[in-house]
Amino acid sequence: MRPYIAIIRDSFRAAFASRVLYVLLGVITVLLILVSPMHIRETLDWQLKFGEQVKRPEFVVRRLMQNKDDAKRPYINRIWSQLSEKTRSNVIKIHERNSKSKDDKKAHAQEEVIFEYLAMISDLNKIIKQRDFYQPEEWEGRSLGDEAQGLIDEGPATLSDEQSRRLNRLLIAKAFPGAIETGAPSAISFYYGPFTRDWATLSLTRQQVKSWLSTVLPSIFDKFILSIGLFIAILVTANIIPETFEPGSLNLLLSKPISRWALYVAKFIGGCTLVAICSFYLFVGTWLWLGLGLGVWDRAFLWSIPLYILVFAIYFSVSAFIGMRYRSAIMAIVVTGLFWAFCYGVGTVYGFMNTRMENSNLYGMTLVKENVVALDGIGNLVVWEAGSKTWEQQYQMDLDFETQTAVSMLAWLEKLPQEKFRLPPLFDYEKNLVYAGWFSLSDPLGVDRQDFVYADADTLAFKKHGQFPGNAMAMFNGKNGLLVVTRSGTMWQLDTSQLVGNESKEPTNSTARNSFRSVGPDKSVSVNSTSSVAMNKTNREIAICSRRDGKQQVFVYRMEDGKYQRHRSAVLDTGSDVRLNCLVEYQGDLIVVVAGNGRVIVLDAKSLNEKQDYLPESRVGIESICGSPDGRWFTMLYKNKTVWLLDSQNNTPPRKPALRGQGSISSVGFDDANQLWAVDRNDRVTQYDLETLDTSTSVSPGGGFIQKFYRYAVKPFYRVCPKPGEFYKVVTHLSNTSDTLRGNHVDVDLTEVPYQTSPLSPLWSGLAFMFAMLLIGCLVFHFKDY
Amino acid sequence: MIHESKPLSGTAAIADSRPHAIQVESLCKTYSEGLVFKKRFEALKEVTFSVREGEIFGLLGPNGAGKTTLLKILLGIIRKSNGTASMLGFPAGSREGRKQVGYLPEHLRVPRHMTGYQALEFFGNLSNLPTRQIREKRGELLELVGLAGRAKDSVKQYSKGMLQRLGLAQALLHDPKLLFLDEPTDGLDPRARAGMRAIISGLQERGVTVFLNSHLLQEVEMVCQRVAILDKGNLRYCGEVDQIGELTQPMVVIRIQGDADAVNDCFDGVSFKLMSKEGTEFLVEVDLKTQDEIDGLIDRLRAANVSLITLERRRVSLEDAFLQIVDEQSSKN
Repeated sequence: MRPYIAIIRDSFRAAFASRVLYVLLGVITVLLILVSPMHIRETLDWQLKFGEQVKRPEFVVRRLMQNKDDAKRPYINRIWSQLSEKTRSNVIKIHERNSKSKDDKKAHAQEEVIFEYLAMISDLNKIIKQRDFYQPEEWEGRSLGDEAQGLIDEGPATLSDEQSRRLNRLLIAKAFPGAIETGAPSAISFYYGPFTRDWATLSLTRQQVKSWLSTVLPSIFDKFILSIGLFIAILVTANIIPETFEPGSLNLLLSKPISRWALYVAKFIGGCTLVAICSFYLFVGTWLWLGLGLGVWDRAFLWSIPLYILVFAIYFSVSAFIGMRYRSAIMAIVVTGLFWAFCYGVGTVYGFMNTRMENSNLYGMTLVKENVVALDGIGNLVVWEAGSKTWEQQYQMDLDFETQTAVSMLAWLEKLPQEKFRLPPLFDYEKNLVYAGWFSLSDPLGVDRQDFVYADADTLAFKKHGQFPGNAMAMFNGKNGLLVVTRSGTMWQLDTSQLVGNESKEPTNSTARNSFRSVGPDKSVSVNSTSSVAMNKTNREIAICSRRDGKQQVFVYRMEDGKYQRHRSAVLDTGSDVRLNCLVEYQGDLIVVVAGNGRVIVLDAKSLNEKQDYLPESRVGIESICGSPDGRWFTMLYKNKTVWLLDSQNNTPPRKPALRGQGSISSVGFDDANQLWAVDRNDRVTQYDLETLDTSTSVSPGGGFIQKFYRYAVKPFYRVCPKPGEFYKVVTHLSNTSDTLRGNHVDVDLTEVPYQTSPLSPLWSGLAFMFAMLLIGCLVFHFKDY
Repeated sequence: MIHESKPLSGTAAIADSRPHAIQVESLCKTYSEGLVFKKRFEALKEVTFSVREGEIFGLLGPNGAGKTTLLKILLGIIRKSNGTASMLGFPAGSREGRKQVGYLPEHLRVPRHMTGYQALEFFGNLSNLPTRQIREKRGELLELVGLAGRAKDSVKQYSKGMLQRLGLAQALLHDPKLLFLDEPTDGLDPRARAGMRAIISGLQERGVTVFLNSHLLQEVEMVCQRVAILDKGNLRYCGEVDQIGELTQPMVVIRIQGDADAVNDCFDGVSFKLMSKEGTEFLVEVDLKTQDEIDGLIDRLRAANVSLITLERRRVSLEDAFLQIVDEQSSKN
């Protein structure tokens, strides 16, 4: 070993003798010095921000206008009087406009209204800063909540500025209930040395900051520092091998009693030392800053050191090979650069084609008589043609340009919550109609308008019929036909008589909404983005899983006297106090809830008592849950496109069934005969009997040229090539994994953690490539005459 | 055609009983270039010779003769195409053989970030020598090659000659039994050359076999006992330096004055070469093997009234022999 250790030690010596190393270390030192004063402090959350604490500014306007002269609410009058003249006149104008227009949302969608709201919130923030805002007599007899009361009890005059602002914020939230949220008590303020700004305060907890940084930092490092660093490192190290292979050096080395392959490998390892020194300094420095300055001690971040050395080693293996073969540093640099560009190109082509394939994924399918109808990722309603073995496009959803762009971008960024905004086809066999829907992103204030399309089940000629009621989020086959549930928790019944006979009419946006009538409930529970809704196909009861009063709850609604009313509710134990996304399914006698932290809770539907709970998947977020109409089977589709199956009859923990294409399943559903339908590999649909796992029907298109080219050429090539710009996935994955392993996983909402398909693939393919290149290098070196 | 030296006699005959340090038999090396249309070039053709332990052996040959190829095959830097070659009883290029070999390459390059000491440590470690042992020996060796005062300086500051001396020191560090020196005096001043010669002679006294590859024939003549001459991959001569003259034609150079026709008549039937002519004065190189033949020529010259100004019997140097052997082969080809 002595000779090889000497070679590696010499590389260290060469690295330390290199001026470039000191330049690099100097640059890193300057960077670390620049970022080191940046730190965060946990402060009390007092600021109001549009869209965060102030979600419904139109309610603030309405309340101001309605109560500004109300003697019972003198604080509203005081807020009103302290608004600027301009804001007051704006508020009056908005209120008048809103009163005239029946469509509030249309009115507030206009951009200038947003600016007026922003000005109003800015004024409210100024009021919050006043130390004398709280006047005891104005709030007499009102319950202000524990936190506000605690601050008042301390004595408003003795409070710090921050506490006083927090108190004012709580009072303002109290003055506008439902419009302004109280929010979590703490906020995070970013400081640079002793300096901070209002905009640098975010309503986040330290845990959220940590999880955000864990996600973002590796990506930033990967995209910027590593790309530039890699280039510099290749430039600096390109000469190591050619220098060694000059005749005067090489002949002497080869005359020594050492093996050639070991000499090559030792030189290679030595070449990596420069990068090792720099990356160690950079990442340990950054890690210390993250810990000391931001309080984020993420050990997984230290994985960046070996990973980034590996990234360098991958390209250095190419540089070393070229340097050895042609004894030219310039050639080594050029070929390595071209190779990097080639790999980047392959990655980009793969990314684009993958998005394209993802877009053709089918999300939700239904059996309409003899036909299989499905909805794909970009709004195509397709029907299976058995003769030609293809999916025939039946209807193209009317997507505006913004929506199309947004869908592509979100799919590219892997951020599109596929199940949330699409209303997949639903067959109403009693009315012989098929319904489907699609969301629209053109509304600047959120997703609240969905196109409603329907077709006769015999012809399957879909047509648009205006839009769903605002914020529709799910549709079911109700007792009297199509039932739509909106995010505000209201339920709407379709009046099919409006559809029949009106086919020739050009639909307007209100056409469909006029065709729906409200069917309750009187006390609605909002189904926000973290909640979900399900309907029991047998008894038509509706279960909503939502967070109320700081607790995750299940509400069951039952149709009584033509209206849905809340029948029973229960608090869920998700194991965590933080807000988690929860998905619910209700079939047979069971309600199954899957929380964002991975817990699967099985409830008895009648008593709402917990029967069992499981943790089948603790690393990947849930995407959808689906139950068979008889309530025996429940399938859970996770973000890794893998299905787990819960058999309630046998009371066994969920298991991964041997379905085709596990790992590429994009959607699952049950038909009325309790048969499972699963879509895998983009657009292959298979029907299973879950008892035997026999496939009774399979719809398997061969795929066009593009699909085949992607599947058999681009994808294998991408797998083999190194993946520049994708190593952040490995760090993020390791970071997330370590989060879950650290024991606080019950508070981690896995559905919020971006899921990367095969996050470790850059690591494995990189390692495999590097070893292959080294092996080729060793063999060539071994057999080459010098 | 290979010129063989006469059998050794006296002390040389005793030396002959020593084992072979290098043995090469029918060694061939063919280089191929190009992937599809291969161009083949024979660098060594059936080369056979041997070097005894303790000998100082010189390898000579014009550029492109195959000297470096032969050296590289022995050191395992390249592979032979055919034949056999061994070094200290081990197959050429084997790791066991290389352990006992020191090598000073031509145009030695030492990493520029090293000092003299560090370079010795590095190359010593490559020969699997423990650092402690290197530290014990390096002072003495640097003293020997005349670099004692510059050991801690960076090699960046070394002249070519100093690098060459450092190269010799590293080659001697692990007490090799066989030392390959490729142009060892290249870049050295006369004093250092003399020093180098002394070191080589000293090594012979310690029983080290030295294989010298040099263009400086005088150096070889002064140091080596035996030489081999390679030309275009063929071994032209292998034998004692002292005996090389016997294989070549002795030369008589005469300066004469007289009528051109008369001179011409005198040289009738004699192999000669006119070297210069100034008026009636001629300088002629004559191929005369015996004294009788010389006497006969002088008698004829005198009879023809041609004046003999000088007559010189020239000694054949290694250089002359080398050129003669190489030229002889070229003219045959």
